[in-house]
Amino acid sequence: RMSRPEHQAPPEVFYNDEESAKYATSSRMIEIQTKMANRALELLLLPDRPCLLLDIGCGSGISGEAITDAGHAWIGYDISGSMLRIAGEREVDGDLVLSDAGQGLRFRPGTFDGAISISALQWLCNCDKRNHEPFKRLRLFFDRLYLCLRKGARAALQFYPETAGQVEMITAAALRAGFGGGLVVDYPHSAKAKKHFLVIYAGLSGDMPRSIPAGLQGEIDEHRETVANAQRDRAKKKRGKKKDAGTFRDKVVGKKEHQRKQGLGVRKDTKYTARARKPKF
Amino acid sequence: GPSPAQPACPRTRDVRFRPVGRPLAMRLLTHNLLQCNKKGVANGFPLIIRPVQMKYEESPYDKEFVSSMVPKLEYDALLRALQWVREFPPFATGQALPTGGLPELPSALPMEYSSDEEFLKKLHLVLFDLHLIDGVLVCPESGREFPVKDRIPNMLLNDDEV
Repeated sequence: RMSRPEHQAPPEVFYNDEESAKYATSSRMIEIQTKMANRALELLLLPDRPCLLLDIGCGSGISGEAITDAGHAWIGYDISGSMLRIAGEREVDGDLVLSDAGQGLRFRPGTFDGAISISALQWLCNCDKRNHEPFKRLRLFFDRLYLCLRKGARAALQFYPETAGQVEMITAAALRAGFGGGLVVDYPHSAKAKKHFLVIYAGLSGDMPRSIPAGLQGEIDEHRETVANAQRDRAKKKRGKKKDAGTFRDKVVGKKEHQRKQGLGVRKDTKYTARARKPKF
Repeated sequence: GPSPAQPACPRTRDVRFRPVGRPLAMRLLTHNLLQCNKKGVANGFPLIIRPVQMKYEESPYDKEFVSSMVPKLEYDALLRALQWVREFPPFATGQALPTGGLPELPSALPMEYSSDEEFLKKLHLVLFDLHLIDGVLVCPESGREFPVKDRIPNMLLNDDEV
């Protein structure tokens, strides 16, 4: 029975180059993360103008791309250099910072219009180092987050709690930092589709509501809503497909070679070259 | 206060504006927000920029986008960042920049900035098109150095700094 990643190694060790690449190229992972990022953005109740958002545990930039597609600016941070390198290769629009959420990255007060986090917070519940105290780290994280958000701004933080105790610990740390709000659980009756979002606000402003919404209910295609843990560490499967000569990728590679000969600066060809991008509409 | 909240919907402006094959670097908007998070530091802002490698990458100007960022800026710190960035020799001489070199920003934020197209265009370049690739960010209070390598600032603290 496969164990959770959080049981195997600290995040900066688990998400090494190989693991990061697997994560970032799995189309199922991309689909699920994108969906959750869009749900998080929805929960922020942002005004209809360009906003500045913080992406906590931004990883390979999947959620950041969703923020860009929604028309906002963002800064993302992650503890894994490998993941951030992949975000750089994806050519994401946000600026990236190497940082540990439990060390409380610091920004000027009241500058962010919102914050999202996709599948990262549960890592803060671990003791990865001997002197780690998870609750202290969570407190520092939420304290600093509270400060950098504008008054009334929200954070929507999706995470995978292992136990009810983790949910309590994360929620308690947020409330102690002064946040209002609470937990939103989508599809609570589906083991696979169930998603936890901590939806919190840094004070109240204007006509922003005091309440947080109920979770989503109803029919859901369970199969599409989850990636089994096994996928995260099974042997690299052969992705080779037969391709005819003159495919789209061949043409792109050919053009790049032509540009190299012209002396233009051209990035080297990687497995991402001419990879199909997510449709915009 | 903010306008009445609406559900997020995809905006129609095309925000994917950087040239293909040129990944982004740390830009001056981020620098204007980032502080030193070392224990005991009261006001580690702005971080002093010691550039080793920088790049100019033009991106399309979007008036609404840059206007939205103005209220968040610590303007004096932005002017200082521009001065530090001038110390990167290709920027000082202007050879790595469009004609005119680095723009001159006014010493204070114009009152009517939202309708000052000339100012907003200069501001756009300064905030979004100057990329720090390699260098160091130095806390003005503690002297703590945060390396920037391959476009990413390393803000990880040692155990005794938390």
